[in-house]
Amino acid sequence: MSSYAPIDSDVHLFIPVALTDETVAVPVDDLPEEAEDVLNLLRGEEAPLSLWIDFAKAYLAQGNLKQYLYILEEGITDEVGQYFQQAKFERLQIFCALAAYYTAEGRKQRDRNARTEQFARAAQLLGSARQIDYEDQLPLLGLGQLELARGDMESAKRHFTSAAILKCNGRPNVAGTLALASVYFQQGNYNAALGHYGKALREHPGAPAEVRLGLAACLFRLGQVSQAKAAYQRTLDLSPSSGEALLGLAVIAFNSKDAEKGLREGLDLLCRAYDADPGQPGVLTLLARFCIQRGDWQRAKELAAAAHQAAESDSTRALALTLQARAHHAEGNYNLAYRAYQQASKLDPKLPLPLYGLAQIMVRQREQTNAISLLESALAQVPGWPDALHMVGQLYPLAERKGRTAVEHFKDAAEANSTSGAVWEMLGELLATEDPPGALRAYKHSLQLYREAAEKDREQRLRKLHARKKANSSLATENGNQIHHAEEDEEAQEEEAANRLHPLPAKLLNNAAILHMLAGEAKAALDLMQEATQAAKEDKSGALPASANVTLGFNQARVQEAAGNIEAAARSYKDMLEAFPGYTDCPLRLACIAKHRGDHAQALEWTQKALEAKPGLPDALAMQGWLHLEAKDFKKAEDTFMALIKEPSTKNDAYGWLGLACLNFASAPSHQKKEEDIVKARKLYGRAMDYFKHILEKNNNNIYAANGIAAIMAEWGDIEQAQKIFNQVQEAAAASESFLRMPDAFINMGSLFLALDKPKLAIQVYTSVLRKSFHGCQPTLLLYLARAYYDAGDLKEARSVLLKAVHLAPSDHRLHFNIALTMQQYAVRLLKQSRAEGDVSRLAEFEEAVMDLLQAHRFFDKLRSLGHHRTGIEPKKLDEHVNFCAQTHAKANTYLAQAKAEAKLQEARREESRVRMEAAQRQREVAAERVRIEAERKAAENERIARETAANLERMRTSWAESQALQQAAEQGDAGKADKRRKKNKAAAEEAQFYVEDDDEAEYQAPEGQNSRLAGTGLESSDEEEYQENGEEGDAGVEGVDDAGEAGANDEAGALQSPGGRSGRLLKRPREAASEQQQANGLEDDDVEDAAPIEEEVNEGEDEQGAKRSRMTHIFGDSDEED
Amino acid sequence: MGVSRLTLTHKQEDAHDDAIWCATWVPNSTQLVSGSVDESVKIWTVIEDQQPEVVDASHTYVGHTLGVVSVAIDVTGTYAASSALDSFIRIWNLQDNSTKAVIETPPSETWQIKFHPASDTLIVAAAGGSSSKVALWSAEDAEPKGHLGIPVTDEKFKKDKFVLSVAFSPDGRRLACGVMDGTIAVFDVPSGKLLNTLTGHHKPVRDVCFTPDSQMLLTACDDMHSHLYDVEHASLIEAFSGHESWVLSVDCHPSGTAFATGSSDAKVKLWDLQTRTCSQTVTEHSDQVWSVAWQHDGKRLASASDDKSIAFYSYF
Repeated sequence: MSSYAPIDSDVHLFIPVALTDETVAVPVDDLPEEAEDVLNLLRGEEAPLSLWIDFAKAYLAQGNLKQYLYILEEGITDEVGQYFQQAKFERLQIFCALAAYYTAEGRKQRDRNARTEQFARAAQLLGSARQIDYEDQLPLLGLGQLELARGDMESAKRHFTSAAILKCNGRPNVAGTLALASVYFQQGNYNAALGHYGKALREHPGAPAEVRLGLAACLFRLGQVSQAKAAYQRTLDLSPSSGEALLGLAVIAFNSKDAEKGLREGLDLLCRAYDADPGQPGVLTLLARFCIQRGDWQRAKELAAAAHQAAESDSTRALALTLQARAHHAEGNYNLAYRAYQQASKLDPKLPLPLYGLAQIMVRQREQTNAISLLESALAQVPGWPDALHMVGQLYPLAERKGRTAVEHFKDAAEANSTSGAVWEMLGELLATEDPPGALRAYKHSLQLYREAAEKDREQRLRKLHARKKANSSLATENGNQIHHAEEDEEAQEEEAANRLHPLPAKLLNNAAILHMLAGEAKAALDLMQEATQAAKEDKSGALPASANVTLGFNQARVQEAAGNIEAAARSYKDMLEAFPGYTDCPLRLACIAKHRGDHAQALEWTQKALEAKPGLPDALAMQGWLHLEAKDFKKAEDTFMALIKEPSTKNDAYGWLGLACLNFASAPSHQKKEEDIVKARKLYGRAMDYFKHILEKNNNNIYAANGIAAIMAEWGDIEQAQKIFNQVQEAAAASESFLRMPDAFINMGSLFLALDKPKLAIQVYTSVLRKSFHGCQPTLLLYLARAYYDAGDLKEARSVLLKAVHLAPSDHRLHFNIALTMQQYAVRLLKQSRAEGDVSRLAEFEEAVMDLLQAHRFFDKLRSLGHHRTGIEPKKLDEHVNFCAQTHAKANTYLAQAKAEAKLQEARREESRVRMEAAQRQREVAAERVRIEAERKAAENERIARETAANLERMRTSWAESQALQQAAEQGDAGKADKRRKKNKAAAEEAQFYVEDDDEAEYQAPEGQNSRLAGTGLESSDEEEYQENGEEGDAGVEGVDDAGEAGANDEAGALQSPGGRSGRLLKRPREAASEQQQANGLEDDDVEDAAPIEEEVNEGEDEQGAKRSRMTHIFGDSDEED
Repeated sequence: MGVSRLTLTHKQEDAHDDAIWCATWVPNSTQLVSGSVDESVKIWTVIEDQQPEVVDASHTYVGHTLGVVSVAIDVTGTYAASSALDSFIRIWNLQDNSTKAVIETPPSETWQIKFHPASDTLIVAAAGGSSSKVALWSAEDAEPKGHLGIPVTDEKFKKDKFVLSVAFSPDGRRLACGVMDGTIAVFDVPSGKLLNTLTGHHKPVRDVCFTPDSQMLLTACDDMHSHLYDVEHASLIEAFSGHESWVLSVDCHPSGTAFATGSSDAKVKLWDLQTRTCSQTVTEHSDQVWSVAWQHDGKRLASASDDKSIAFYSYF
């Protein structure tokens, strides 16, 4: 900004004394403290307004902004305006200078309102300036700058265009044209920029050499390297010591195709530039950068220090300091580096590199939160800066923070930059840890953009090829020559080559595939993964390191596994393990596969192998723990989890803690009637609760822990609170768009509904989760569902559901007991149902009831004969049931006989009518005859059924005759008598009552009170089923976690990370996942050293960034000059 | 072969009132027999000379008092046997649908049943569930004809030795039974001796099926795999994966070049035994596919499902 810069380098300012020829000399380095004194002097001597400006500038040059502003503010008063009415340009200059100040202030403001306020002030001042002289260029230039500051490039261009045709203080000035050129340059419209630089040069051939520098920069950007070179050369001719020109030439040399030669020449030029202008900061910085690249930290520091000295602006100074800091940083001098970065950042808050460097140091000091805010500031300056995004993406999961501003920034950037596949890809990477569904969407969009671009590219190539062919063929016809076959072949090849779509980036395909897989879309994942592998094969650019192929191979296998092709995946894992014995992800996946197949021994073996390769590997330990837990080997499970969390590096491993929690939960006694059991359960639940809480403290997104807490609360009777948490867990799972699959929360919710006596809701929940998560194959869940139907009074459906459960798990005695119980109850209900006289359904239903009683009796009897040691069901209870069935059966037979007699009567009536109908029918046609035959056939069938049923009953009766139960029943004749007898015998009465009346209470104790077991809503009736029930409940608890385990293992494989909230892996996953991404980037995968991967990546990123920046600086240099 | 595919020719919706658990073809005919939770067994006849083919409900056999678990037809196509959760085995005549014999077994001691392939004896083998054996019954007079027992070394694990599935080799010399713990026991039928125990699965084996040459055995297991074993050498030849849930049923094509599986993932898969790959996946059902069965001439496949439907496919 020329208006800010001191143009008068003389040491004195001269004030002409009024009415004399004398002047008063004021030394510029010794200005009066108060500008007011100067103004008083100037006013007194009636000095020209230009002197006001000179003094203002002098104050500014000394950094005395306050006095500078004081003079300017005084300069725009009406009083001054009237007095210096003729000094239009000077007045206008003051307005513009002040406007420039407010524009710059506004730029600095973070707060939107403050910004607007400052800009409005600037706009107002510029408006006043324009009113002084509409024909002057200066206010328009100011307006252009203001619009630039507002980010409105188009308006800026409009103002600059107007400015370009105006004059400055009556003289032609190319400033407008140059400003315009600069805007175009910034917009990347190098052609237009070039045009304007050319124009400026034509209008003002004697323009400073810097204009040519701008020209050269445009040409360079446009790829017209030789012309750019010529332009730099011309600059050199005009001003042989132009460091910038030499610098430009050096940059061109560095970018030349022949890297080695280019480097040599470039360095040579750079040295010349250094010789010609040893103080040229651009040269010094570039040299410093080279030294950093070469690892010559000492020289780099010296050069950067020199650049700092020589720098004319804060931004250049900041750059130099940044380089110094980097040298310190690289040397491991973190304190010095930190200080230098900070200084640089203070000088130029917009410079992103120091922020990035500071962030790196923060990471070293494990101040993730600070690092994140630094990176977010950096990203605010350079949205979409890949290195910063990568790093922030890695850091987010490590620190607890609300509102990830960089993500928002980046989303905006992606929206604005909607055509760039790369930007969307980066958004995907960033979101991957926090918002997997969002990441997947971003990836999908990115893929689409890439595909469109590839398609366009192919069309273009084809068009070119065809155009050339056409030209060739017309040439051939002219020559009258035949086309040679060889050429034809070649053409065909060319055609084929042109027709091929260029592959998409393998890394993007890979990442998208993994996210699809995590979302449960195995097919899409498989397709993308195949494409990724193909793309990696075709990629000859060398951008993918060898290790990327291993990662891709692993992911390919992982996706295959997810798609159900388990055998192929297992083979791949084994092959890879052979080639890379240290690749522990392979044995872990193999362990998962074995576990899924129910082969615990094999699974343990694989985890052991992983542990041999990497002793103490947390995932392998966690997996072992879960395997032991699943096998109900609580002691071993506990030891393993303990070993895991005792290790300092894994002391917060959520898997380990979750394992311990579930272990305690699962081993709590389910029936707490005895005092000792109550105490024991209280202790174990309490411990489980503590563990779950511990996990949540470390990561409040862990829904598995939340689910566990809610389950315990439900056990403790705090249904309301439990329900609240289950709801939240469900919502979280739903919000994850199938990235989090957590059937447990739903199952628990269902059980809660049961406890709340809302069986209809429970049925809904159970049915849906059974279908969605278990393909209908989950006997325990079917048992719960049956219980819900039972509670809802739908015994028939309960019976049907239980039958299906028995079919799935035929060896489950618990199911047998419950099906028998349900049939018994169903029969009782059918028998008790009050009916209208002559109800036709009566006979059929009575028969049904009798059959069910028979079946129930058989099941109970069988269970009794199996013995308590096998079934775990109390023999006394079974005895009671067997007896009850026998009694009720006897009673039912009486009813049945009555019903049969009635039915016979009806049958006779029917027969009568049938005969009548037959008579009528004989007169009808042949078709009707067929109907009759059919009716007869049916009648025969019914009879047969009746016969067989009778036979069945007979058989049962004989078998019962042997059992004491039947003897009793026979003695008593019917169940009514049994009732009376019960009243006589108190003990017996209780028993009988239990069966007949209060069955519901005894057998299906609604889980209302303290004793209710959340998961234990099964129909089990026995107190002594502890072992069994424990197992089942273990399942309910464990299963969720089991899934967690799986999830972790899934992540193991995924190149990404665990999606938010998964099983505590959150604490760790993202980092590892990110490191896998690094693999794809060609970086080391390092799980052990926290800071290492990030640092490494940063270094590599910086080099690249460095190269980019060297060009950027150069251009900035130009624009500085132009301004 | 090899390129042969399944094409749906007919789908019988609501073939039963409830889930269908089993289905098998009557030899040398186009009749299929299916059993359901609705306690009935139904006979379906494919009418071939109509285009498109139609399927007729020919007969409904009743008598079971709980869901029908398994149906089998003797090699001559004369008799049908059905077993149910009521643990009765009912033998009936397919010609006049009359009941020939009723075999009562203790609860949960009868699951899958198969007829002995010899035409001169009418023997039914029943996977004996919790009895840890395969029971042999005469279908003539419902008399027991001995049993093939699985040794249970530890009483503690008896529960896992639950016998779910059974199959005779086509030559009648071998019998294999699938067990809850994932093992398959192979017996020599003439001597009644246990020959081999095939291992590799660790979850319930719900269906077993010999290849036509009687040399190999295919399995359907809850571990989402189907295995191919060399029966005589007791070795695992191949493990087939691809189903996303339990494999519930398996049937080998009479040519021995392909086999079909049904799964609780509601899919039917066709596998090529030469390339040992999945050659086709059929998604006609909306729920567990409990049974897949090839017509004896290999021209047709039927699949029966929990969704109450039966699908008929042509295969060429």
